Amino acid sequence: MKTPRLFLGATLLFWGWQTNMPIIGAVMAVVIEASIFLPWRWTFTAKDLNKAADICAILFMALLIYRFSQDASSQTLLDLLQQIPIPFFPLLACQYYGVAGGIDSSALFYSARQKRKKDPEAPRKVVDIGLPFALACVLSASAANARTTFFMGFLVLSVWALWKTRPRRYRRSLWIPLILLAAGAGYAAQNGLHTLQGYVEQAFLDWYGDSLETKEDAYRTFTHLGDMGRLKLSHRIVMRILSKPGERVPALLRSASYNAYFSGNWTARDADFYPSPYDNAKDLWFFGDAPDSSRETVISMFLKDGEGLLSLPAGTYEIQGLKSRTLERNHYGAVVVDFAPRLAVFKVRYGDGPDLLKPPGPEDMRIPLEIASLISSQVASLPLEGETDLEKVRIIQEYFLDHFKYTLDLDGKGGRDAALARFLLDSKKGHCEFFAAATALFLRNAGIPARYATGYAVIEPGPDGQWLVRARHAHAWTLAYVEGRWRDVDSTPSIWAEEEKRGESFFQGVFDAFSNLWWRISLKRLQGDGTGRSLTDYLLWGLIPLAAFLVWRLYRKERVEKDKKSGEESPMPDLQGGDSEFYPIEEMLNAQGYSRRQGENLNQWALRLGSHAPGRLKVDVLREIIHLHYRYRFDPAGLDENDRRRLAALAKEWLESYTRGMDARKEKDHDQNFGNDLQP
Amino acid sequence: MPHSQAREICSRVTANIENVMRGQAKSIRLLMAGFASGGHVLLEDVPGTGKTTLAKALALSVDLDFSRIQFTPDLLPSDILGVSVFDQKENAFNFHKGPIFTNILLADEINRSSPRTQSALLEAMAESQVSIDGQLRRLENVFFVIATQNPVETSGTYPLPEAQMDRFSLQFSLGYVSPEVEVSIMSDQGAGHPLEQLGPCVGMEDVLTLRSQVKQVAISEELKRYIVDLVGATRREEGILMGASPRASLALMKVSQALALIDNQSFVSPDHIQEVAVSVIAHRMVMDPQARFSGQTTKAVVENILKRVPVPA
Repeated sequence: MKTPRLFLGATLLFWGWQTNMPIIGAVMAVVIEASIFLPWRWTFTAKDLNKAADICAILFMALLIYRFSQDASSQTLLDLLQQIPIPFFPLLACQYYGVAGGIDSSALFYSARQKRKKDPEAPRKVVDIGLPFALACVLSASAANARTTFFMGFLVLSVWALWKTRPRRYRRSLWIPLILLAAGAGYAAQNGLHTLQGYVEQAFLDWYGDSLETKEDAYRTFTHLGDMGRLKLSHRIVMRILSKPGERVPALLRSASYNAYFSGNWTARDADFYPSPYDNAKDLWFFGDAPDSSRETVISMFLKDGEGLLSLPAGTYEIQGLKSRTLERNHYGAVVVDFAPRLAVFKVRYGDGPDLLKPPGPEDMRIPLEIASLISSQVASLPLEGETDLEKVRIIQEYFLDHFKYTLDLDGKGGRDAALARFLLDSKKGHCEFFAAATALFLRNAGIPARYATGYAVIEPGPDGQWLVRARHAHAWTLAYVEGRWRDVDSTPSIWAEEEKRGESFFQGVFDAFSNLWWRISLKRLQGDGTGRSLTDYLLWGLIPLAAFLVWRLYRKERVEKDKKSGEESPMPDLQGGDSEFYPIEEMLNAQGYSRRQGENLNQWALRLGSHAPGRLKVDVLREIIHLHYRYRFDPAGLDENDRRRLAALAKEWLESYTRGMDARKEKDHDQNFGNDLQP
Repeated sequence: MPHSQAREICSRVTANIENVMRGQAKSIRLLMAGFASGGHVLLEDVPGTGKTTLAKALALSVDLDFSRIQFTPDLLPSDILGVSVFDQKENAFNFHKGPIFTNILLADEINRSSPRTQSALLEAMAESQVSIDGQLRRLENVFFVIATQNPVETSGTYPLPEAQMDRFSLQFSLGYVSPEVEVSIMSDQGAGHPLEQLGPCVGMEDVLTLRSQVKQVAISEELKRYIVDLVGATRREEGILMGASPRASLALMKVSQALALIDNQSFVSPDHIQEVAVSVIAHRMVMDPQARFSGQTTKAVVENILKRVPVPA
């Protein structure tokens, strides 16, 4: 099928609109549609088109490699899908500016190219890539996932294309309601699928949510309490913090906090997530109002598969420049993203504004029964009587700092349930999870609501004013609700960082250098113009020399006058009987959708049509016409004067009766007998 | 008017054969086309479908010499062509003509004899002559071979070589008739075989007229080109080891001309070509064994080509 005039332009505009590249889309549309007004065409040879196809393929591969080297996440795949029309556009332009009116199959398919190599004399097979390209544009636009507008645009384009090729034998009053019905069904189906997916996802969570174990989970955390052996820690750099010179960086970055302790594990109760509002213009995610004084820091972190929990400073109220599809928070300060880049670089603003965490509830005061007596006996020995909450926190914190030792060696005796008791009574040594859990329970016993928090400590200064956060800097501490707000309480002896550094490899410096280099490139991109340069800009700059070369080559290439009749079929004047009156009949029937198959002879065709629409087509008369037509065409003796006139008369009469019949059918719904009153 | 006369001859023979062969109008039409075009016909079908009866019905309908050879594994070329016997009285070799010196030759179960014997027919079929003992002998003016073979039973048979297959203008099968027709065949044969009552209705003169008139049927250059396109397409087809030869193009043209004459038309139309294309082309092609084992047949390949190659209209 040939695409209707202006259809490709409209499709490209639609694509540009949906994928947020309206300018590129408009330029492409203008380039394609301008070809109508140009009086000349280039004479591309098959070889030229092969080269054009190769360039397109190389462009696409380059785009693919570039994108995935930058960020190998699922979001990249979606982005790439949206950009597919760009690298393949030159091929389409070749079709519209070339004389052939299409692209050689040898340019598109490897097998066809091999065949052509073997037999260069074989006639060129030209394929119209207009429609496939339009379909690719629509597919590409769908990746932008603007559901309502996409469907409307898609519908308009589909109706347009189908309208042009509809079989004319059906009345418009039938065709239009049918297409509207199909459109309605399509819309209902896509909405239904969307809803169904929502249900399935929810059901999956309901059924299996409890048994899903992930490394970092906003709902629960699995501690190493009671584990055995030395804790193995990775020295990989997972985050980098960059603050303005002279400004302090946040000491702790919180990933999540939990309020319920049971048998060595912490969980977050009623921790429903809700999406955060997003300001498209400023590229901002809002959590709350800005406080009087705020600080700003740039965080870059690795997100596995572009999803996971963010580690943020306490009091974060907005995040800028995070290219994420969704961002959701819960009342315990956990922020989860999905469809984010694998290396996310963003600005965080934080300050001592109004508390965004959930106020304390009964869960924040609960101490498990099996350990309650032990805790209360230990807390009773501390001099807390009559002190303020703030002072109580300090005393408990100092108790742990002074009387307990930090170690990564776990003996695991007594198992998970008894681990905390052994820590408090026997060993008096452990790692940060012990300190944080014990402190939280002590605080609760002392009447101060407390939670268990996980995240990272920012303790290692790196080159150029950045701070490095390695996987081993993962930390746990306590949140205490004092004087109307939640505060971080870290009771782990500060020696922990030194202790954990001991296992560092000799080559860590080399790894860090590479990591630094990669991060630097990412950061540059982010700071380039605030929001980050899009890939297409880079590509366009890189393409300028190539484009200039191509333009020069094209300028020097031979041009010929456009074939005025391109698209219209000329009625074979050089053949015997090429002016037969049968051809208008064939044309008319083709327009009605009764097209003849390639290898079907006229009599077979007439009989087939007769079985489709008996009466309407007057097959007997048609066959008589065909017989005369055959004589006119294939009998070297031709037709004599009389028969020639008879052919013309019969054909004219048939056509007239057929058009009359069509009009009648348009007026009346069904006239079964209409064929009879047309008999001569 | 010789054209209508030829057409008259055709319909007379057809009617005569139809007295014997029930429900086989299409096969009779093809057989007549082959006979009128001067080609040879190979009937391939399972036993009992009337191959031999059809052949004999044609032979009996025309007043010509008819001989029949039952092909067996021990049949020798001399059994077909003839043999020179030494005459002691005259002290010289006398040639005894074999059954091939006839007008209509029914080669029954042709694939049962050895390739050596089968190839004895080669020269006769292509050139209407045989070379025996270094001497060239012309066959009769009208020489028409109608061979039968059974495609199912393969033990003790020798498949015809490609060169031999190519000598046949047409190959087709009869197929089973409808139950009603089968019942009427049974009723007909109650009294005696209808073949016994069949007599000749045309003579040698008529056959010669018919054949010369077929050559007069016009065919346009465009349709010749269409025939060449169809045959040429078989040579480029996937899974085909050997496509059809130019002899196939020639045969397709001649049979189409004969068919046009049967239809009382003085020119060939595309419908005629399409009607006989499978019968004329398919048996000449050799399939790639792999394609054959995957269930592909030459008939399907030709049908496919017919659907694909644009037909002049």
